[in-house]
Amino acid sequence: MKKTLSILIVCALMVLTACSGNNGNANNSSNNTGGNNSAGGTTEPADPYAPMSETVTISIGKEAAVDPKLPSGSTIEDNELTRYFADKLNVKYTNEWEATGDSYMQKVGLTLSTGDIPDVMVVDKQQLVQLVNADLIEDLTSTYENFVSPALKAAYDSTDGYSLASSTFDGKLMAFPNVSPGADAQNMLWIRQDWLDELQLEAPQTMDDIINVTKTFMDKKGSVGLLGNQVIVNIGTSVFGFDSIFSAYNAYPQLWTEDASGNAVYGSIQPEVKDALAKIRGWVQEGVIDKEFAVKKNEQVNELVVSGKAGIFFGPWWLPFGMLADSVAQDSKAEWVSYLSPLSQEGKMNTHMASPTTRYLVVKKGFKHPEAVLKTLNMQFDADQLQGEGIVEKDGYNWMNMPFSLLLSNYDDKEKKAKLVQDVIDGKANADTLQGEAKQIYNSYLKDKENPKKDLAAWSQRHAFLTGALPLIQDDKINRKVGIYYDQTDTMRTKWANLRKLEDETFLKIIMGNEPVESFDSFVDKWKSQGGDQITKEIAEAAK
Amino acid sequence: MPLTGKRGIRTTDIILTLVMLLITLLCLLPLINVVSLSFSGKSAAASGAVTLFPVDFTFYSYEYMFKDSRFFDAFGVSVKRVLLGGAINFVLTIMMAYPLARERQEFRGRDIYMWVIVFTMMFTGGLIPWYMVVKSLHLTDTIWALVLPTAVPIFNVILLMNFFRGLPKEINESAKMDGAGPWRTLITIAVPLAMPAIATVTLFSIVSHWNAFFDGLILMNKQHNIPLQTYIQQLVVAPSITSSTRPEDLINFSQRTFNAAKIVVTMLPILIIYPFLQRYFVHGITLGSVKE
Repeated sequence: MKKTLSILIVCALMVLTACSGNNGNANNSSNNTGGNNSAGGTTEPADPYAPMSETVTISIGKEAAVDPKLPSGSTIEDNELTRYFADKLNVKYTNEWEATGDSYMQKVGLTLSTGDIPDVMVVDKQQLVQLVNADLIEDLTSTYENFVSPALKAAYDSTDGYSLASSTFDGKLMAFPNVSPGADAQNMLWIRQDWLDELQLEAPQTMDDIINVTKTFMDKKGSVGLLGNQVIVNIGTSVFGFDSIFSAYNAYPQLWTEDASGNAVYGSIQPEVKDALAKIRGWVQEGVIDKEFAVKKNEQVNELVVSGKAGIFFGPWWLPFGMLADSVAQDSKAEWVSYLSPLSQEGKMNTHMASPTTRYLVVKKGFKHPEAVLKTLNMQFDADQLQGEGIVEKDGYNWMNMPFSLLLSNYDDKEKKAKLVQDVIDGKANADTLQGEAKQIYNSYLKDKENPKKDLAAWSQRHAFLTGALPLIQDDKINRKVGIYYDQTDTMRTKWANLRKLEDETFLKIIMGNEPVESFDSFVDKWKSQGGDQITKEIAEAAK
Repeated sequence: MPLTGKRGIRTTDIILTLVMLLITLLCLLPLINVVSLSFSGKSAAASGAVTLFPVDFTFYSYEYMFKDSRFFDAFGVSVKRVLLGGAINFVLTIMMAYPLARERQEFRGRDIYMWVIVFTMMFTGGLIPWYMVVKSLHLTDTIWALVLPTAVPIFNVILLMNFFRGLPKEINESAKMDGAGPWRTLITIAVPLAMPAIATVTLFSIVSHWNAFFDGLILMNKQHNIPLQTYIQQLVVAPSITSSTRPEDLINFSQRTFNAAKIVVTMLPILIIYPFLQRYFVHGITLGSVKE
């Protein structure tokens, strides 16, 4: 028996050494390819849309859409959009692999560990840092300077340089970042206007107004209270979150900001948060906020909205595309309207802003024609602005069916388009000036005006933009708090998960009344001593 | 006295029946709910109005699904996988279990093989080595990547081996005396006798092939090569709110009816196969589990 065991151990060792040997090879080969990184772009004319003189093949690690809406005959690799780009730019796009959603990130991780990366893929910040440190990706600085289109440059500039800065290492641009619309992170108050009118109530402005309206809804309409869900606060997408309540009291949990003297501080440990927590705790006790909110999943809260049991909550502009359309389908009297509310004492709606950039498109070191990649992105931006108009015929339009799955939009994209359409409706502009998505919105508006709430797709688009996004154009009524830092520092990688858990648990316990409001102070001390201070220092350093 | 005794039995019977009924309901109700969701209107489903019966009865979800070419690609891959993988499992399990069921004198290295086999049951190489092996053998994106790594299901081999060991030795000896070689003994005597156990392990391997989604996720590079369960997994796993910044993902929350329809269609084949193999099932497992 001993003999067999020792044989097994030898076998196991052989397997292990074989693996490590392979790793070494992978590293070597990547170093080799690193040697011949001549920027082939300099000989091409600097036209951001010019086709390549020779056919360039780009292999892609592709994030596919879950529901690409492609008829038979079109695939993720070969559809009307990819064919259009291939024709215009003389580029052949091949997908080395395809995956969707979370499994895409898993696959990127696998690819990184094997060292065998495709020419182009989209990664997150942590993976980007890894790639930069391993020297596996191409410096894109000169490519960007020479080949970016004016429209795409304007989009990057719309984030005040944040996007490009976060992809820049030692003065070199190492990736093309994404730009997601800033509107997504700005929650508003959604309310059943038909109930307000019926009960002859004014639109609520302050937090107290909101609570009063909620109480009236509960008494007169038999609705549940102000909705919430498991996620109390989330910078980014926060349907039903309490973000708005915190910011009404000048508290910005989870956001890294600067204090009055310019030091980096963490939003969740500021004294204002304590006040806001105390308020929310009071409302939970009163029952204005449903006590069960902490155990409810989004889907269950959605049900309350759709079935007409809820009439007031916080959420982003695009909700008419989802559950609000279902709500109208169930009850055509439902009239959802969004307000910039609650207002703070200064009379403005406070809101945190999310990082416009979370994804990075990287080009493998040694890839000869990085400008072909940027030209594709130039065209992708334009095609997305037009929503595929003039390109797709049979295929449904989905931006993820383009060669690269990198979301590129103007930071103020949604509210700007809404304003363009509203100007036409108000007679200030001519309908001919509208293009692409704006034109679609206008058509939806006309359709919905003719037959209100009959065509729900039209209703959704009209409502999301002209009701949801339009209020966001009023810059003088919104105080947007931008974070100074959205990434992860080194210490965060090891300690953040625990700190975050401590924070979530403390907040929840205080809100639910399991612990006194004063426990917030001991939370702050614990947070600082368990790594928070160290992280704050790192962020102050990184944000400079 | 006997009367009370009888009554006692009756009450326990009733309680047991009730408990079993309850458990059956617990298993059955979610299925019924999914089936009725799949036949319900979209907004009715989103409002949580659907419980045991469809609301706003419609075939729309099924029509929509049958228009999606990816669903059929994935279905085809899964069918191919089950047929091919099931056949490979079937042959290899029998051919592995039979020799291992021989006496030590007949098969000298038997224990070494046994150890090696059991070792792989306890320890795995891990995700990345596994991926790299499959990749460097150029199996990714082929049907072989789904069937070859699981070609020998060890648990099934051990089950079947124990069953073979339980067969009377005399049968073997008499076959030998009549001049039958090992192949002939295996094919004409051992296999027919072991039918209950073989049916059981075949069912195991069919179900596990049909249900596997993870290897499809990792080893298939093109979306048209993924098996059905991987396809369903991508649709049904709702993106968590914190990881997703794209509204499109969250809007899909209201696609419950489509997802329900897909789940129903996926369940069907196994539901159909099960009754035919079930009669062997209990029989096979218990017979094989008794050691000599």
